[in-house]
Amino acid sequence: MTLHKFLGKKETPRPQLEDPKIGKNEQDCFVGDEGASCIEVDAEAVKTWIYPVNIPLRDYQFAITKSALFSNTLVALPTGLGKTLIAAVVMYNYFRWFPRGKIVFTAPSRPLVMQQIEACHNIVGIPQEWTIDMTGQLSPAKRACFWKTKRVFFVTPQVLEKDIHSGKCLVKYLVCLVIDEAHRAMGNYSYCEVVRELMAVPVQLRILALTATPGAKRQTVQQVIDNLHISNLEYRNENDPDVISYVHKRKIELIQVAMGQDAVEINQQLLEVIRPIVGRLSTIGVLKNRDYRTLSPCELLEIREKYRQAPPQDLSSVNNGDVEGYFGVLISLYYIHKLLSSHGIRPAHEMLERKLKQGFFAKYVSKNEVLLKARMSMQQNLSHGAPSPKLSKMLEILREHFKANDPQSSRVIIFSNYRESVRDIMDALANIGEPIRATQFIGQSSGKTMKGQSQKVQQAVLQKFRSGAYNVIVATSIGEEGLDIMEVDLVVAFDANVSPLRMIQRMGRTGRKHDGQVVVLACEGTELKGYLRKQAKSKAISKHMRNGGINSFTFHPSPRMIPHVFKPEVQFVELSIEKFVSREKKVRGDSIQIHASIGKLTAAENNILAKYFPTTGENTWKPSLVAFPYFQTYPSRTHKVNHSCRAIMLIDLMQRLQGQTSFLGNSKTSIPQDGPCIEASNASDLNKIREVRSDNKSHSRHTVGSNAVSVSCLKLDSSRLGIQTEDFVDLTAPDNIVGEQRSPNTSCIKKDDLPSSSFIDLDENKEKTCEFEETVPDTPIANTVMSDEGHSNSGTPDHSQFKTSLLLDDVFNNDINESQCSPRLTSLIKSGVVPESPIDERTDFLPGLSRSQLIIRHCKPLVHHQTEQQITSSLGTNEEVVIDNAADVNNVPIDPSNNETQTLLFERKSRAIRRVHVFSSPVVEEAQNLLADITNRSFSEDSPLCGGNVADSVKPAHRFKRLRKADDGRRHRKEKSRKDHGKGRRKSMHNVRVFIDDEAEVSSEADVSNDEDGEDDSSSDSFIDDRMNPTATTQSRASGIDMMAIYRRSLLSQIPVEGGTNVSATFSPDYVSSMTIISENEDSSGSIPRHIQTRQIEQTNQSASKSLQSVEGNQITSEATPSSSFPAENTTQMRSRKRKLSFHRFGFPSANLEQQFALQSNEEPMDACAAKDILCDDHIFDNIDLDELEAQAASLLKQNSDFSAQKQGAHTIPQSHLQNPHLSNPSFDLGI
Amino acid sequence: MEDVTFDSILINAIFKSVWSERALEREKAEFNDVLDSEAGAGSSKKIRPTSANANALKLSCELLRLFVTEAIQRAAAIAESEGTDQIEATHLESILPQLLLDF
Repeated sequence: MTLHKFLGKKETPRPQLEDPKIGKNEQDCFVGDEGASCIEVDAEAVKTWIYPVNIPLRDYQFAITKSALFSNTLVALPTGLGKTLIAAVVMYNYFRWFPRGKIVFTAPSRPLVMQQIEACHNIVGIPQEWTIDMTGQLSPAKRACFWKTKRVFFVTPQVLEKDIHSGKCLVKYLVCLVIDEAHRAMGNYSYCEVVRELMAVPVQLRILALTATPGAKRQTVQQVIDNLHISNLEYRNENDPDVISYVHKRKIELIQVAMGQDAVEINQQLLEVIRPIVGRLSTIGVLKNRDYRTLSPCELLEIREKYRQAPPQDLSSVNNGDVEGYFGVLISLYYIHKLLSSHGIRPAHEMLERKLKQGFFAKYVSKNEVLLKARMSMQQNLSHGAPSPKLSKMLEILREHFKANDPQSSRVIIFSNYRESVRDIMDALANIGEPIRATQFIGQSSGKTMKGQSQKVQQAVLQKFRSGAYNVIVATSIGEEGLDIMEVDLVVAFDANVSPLRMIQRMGRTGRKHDGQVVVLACEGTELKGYLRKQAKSKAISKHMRNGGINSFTFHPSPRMIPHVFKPEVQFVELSIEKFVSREKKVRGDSIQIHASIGKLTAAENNILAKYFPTTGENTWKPSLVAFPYFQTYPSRTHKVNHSCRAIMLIDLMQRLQGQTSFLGNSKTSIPQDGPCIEASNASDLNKIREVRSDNKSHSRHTVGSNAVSVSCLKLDSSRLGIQTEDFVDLTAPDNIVGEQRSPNTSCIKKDDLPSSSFIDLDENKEKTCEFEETVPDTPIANTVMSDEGHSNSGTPDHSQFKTSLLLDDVFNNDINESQCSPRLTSLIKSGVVPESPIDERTDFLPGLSRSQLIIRHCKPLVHHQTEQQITSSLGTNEEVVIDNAADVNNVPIDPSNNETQTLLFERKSRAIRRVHVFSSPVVEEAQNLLADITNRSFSEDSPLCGGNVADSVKPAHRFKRLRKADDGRRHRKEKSRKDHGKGRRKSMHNVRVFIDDEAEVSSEADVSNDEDGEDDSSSDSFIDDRMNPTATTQSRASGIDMMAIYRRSLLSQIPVEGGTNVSATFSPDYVSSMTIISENEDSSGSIPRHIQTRQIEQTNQSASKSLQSVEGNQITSEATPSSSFPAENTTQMRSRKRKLSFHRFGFPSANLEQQFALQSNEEPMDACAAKDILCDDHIFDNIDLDELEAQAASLLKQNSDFSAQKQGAHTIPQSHLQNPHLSNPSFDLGI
Repeated sequence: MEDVTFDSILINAIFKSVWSERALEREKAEFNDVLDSEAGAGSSKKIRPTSANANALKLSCELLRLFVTEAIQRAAAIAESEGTDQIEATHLESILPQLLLDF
């Protein structure tokens, strides 16, 4: 690239300038160029240069741009002809060509910077992320950062100078410098400093200088050219042919105003003061015979400079001081004189007053009579308040203007050189009032008499002026340059005797978009003369600038920025420009807006605030975070905010905890019995240990209990109760009470009652054994199940044996009943599912078999459960034995704890089951059939799923109390389902025992539900849950699951009520839920995503799909109907209602209801089983109550609303309480 | 809907009420401390009430808006699945723990 440059340098054909001198100069600076070439060129982009055609193309702009791209150019273009466009296009192309180059645009004031950044953006649309405006307001540190990150900078020259000095500006990367209002580049102004610094580095960069008024004199223009290293001058006059079509007509009107009479007088007096001083200076020879009336402060300053540089030799040092003093006084006086003539008396007076306070002036003239007289007349004049003729003329012009133009759309700027006169004008304008809305626009420096405007205020003024809030601005020189206010159509120059540059600038404020008018107010006399003289001068300079000023000015070489090999071709492009977003405005606007509105609340709003945010008191409702733990076991549906990792952790944790909750509930209840050790192990991490311990103890107790049971049925009962008490310490009291309560009711009843239940248990056990016979082949897990079952059986058989002997009749009766039913179901199952002949065969002699089994078990009541298992299995089919052994092998290491824990659970559950069975025994057969059907269906659906997995499932999956892996769980579930099938089949076979069927159904349902649950819970199902479900009998499983699922309810109801009843109570909901699950299973067929399913499981009950309800109803009837003749549907309704209730309000009513039901059901079976027996008062009472309930339910049937259901609940609760006065009302503490 | 958010004035008022409450409590506590310790150095440091600037308020409003909409949407989902068209406190409670963790 340097080579390219080198070549480029050598030839350097200037597109515009053919001056040989330039070529020579370039050779010179070329040497210095070499080191500075660190900017690369985008070779592709540099092939073209882009000229935007968003704005209609103007030839002069295009031509100037073209030359400005390739050489340092001073553009002298009349105001309002689009200098900014040229600058923007040049910047844009350099922006394209040099991907890393930095471009700087400098403008002398902050408002201009802000204006230009927006203007440039709107012309070429340099992406805003690359542009930045930087003024002195930005801290240097920030600026340094921006210098690094941004590429296009809009800065004030002072900032640029400082940053170059401090090295923040990365000068090496500068490729283009645009200087606005370049005529300021005189003397030591920052522009000059900046360019000097850059040239000293040296930096190769393109300089583009823009101005409307390059200078009043040839010399000043030359100075600018020198200072900015300009090699090309592009000058256009308003009258140039290519410009003239774009120049709006600007009518310049010079109005001569006669000085006021007072002013003339005062002027005379001032001149009287001046004359002798001038005379004295003349005598010294400092002033050369000039008419004192034509002197001006500027001339005097010049003369003084001369005098200081070369003081006449003959002057003594004393005189020297005097001369200095005279000069000072003269300058002040002439200044006042000028003020007086051009601005009126008031500014002059203020000036005089100020001067009189200063030492020098006061010393020389304070005693001057004439001056004092002049001062007096000034004061008089001011107090009289006669306005100066200029002011009144100006007001006249304004009034006319606003008569001719719409005051809304028309804008006027009045320029005055002095702030004092600005204030005068403002005062005068204020008197006029409408339609003139005037404001002042002055610099920010605070003078002695008046404060300046901060830049913020200035911006605000301009903004309001643009928007029309003001239509007149009275401005000092600050408003002369660069302010691009389109709508100004009248400019009033209040004083005429200003430099031609400034006059041009003033005129430039109008005629930008449409024709404008300029009024110059000039006093007759010196001011007018001065004005005319200066106009003539500016005309002379324009002559010099013709033809690029080649003849008049010497130019400087400029480096070639792009390698010579590239010859950019022009490309006209329509640029798409994004809307300009002001960086500062945005932030400021927002904050202002909000701050303004803060603290405004209406009284009503305050009241609401006070209502919802009470200053004191605890009466606010605080939502409970622990009320719905089950909901936390699956992620709730989200709307827009997804679950955080913490929420997922919570869900995970809750799933584990919930999985154990059923278990935990037990262990908790057993905590008191276990004593401190368990209490110590409360931490959830130690669940395992706790479980084991508690299980061990409970187990041991259980064995003890079972031993005791064997003594007598009464004892059995008590022992059971005892066990229960051990298990549920809290509940011991109620249990005992119940037991006692029952015991008075004649022993025979009890005997009848308990035996029957035990017998049922026996059947159940038998069934279970059958189950595991079937299941064993399937899986090792099943083995554990078996073992557990066996173990649990070991407890139960004890009773059953005794009872069987006692109550054979009942059993037989039951059997008969069941056998009647069986054919249908069996046939159904056979047709639906795989027919299982061996079981069928077994069905006939099962009662006996089971008995024998039990007996055998009884023989070894304390034998290890594994052996029991084996025995039972040996009694069963051959297949089992083989696998049993395997299972044993598998289980041996883990079993002890495993089984124990399960046994504990199982105990309770089996007991519950017993009860349930007891209740359910007399159930209407039809209902059972229905249920059976349902279950069968579910099975049939499940079977295909499970079948495939049998092989897989033969794996020792004994990761106990650990989170199972998802697949494990699934396998397990499938196994379970398998089991279910078995059960279902068995059920069908064992139809003889209707209640067993029922139970089996329940179990199957439970299993199904379990499956579903398992799936729902996916991988995070805790092992224990799964474990329990298979191991414990069907119902235990169900209960386990449901306890999980309906933890709140079940646990609630469980804890406070006696063990057995509790369990049964829990079962009732379990049933329902499991049933619903089944139905859902059928419906959904597993296609629905998991958590939705769970939700459904939970909630469909409520949403009350009718089929579910009916199922429930059946179930309920099976549970609760036995004693009675009331229609099943009523109960179903009741059930469903209850269900709803329990769902809606997890509090007491549901629990009570359940409890009540449990009680009822408890007692019903007793009735049913021991139909012959005399019903105790309680029972009768119960029955009555039930009837009542039924009646209520029937009535409620008609009302379908939940509300009524709730009412019902409310009704029933007291009843239940009435029924069971002995039942200590459990404290329903949502202890979760 | 996205444009509708809480009134920043209201939020500010709520914040302020809470802050002033806190400040009062703190003051009380400090007063007690002073009494206890008998230091009684004089209340040289004044507890200035906490305040939020405009942008912070704006942000708070947005956060609150998100929070409330999310809460309502989730509760509505629960209510819907329960078959009711009215969100009740229980619905809110059931989604609250996860919601709080999500924010």
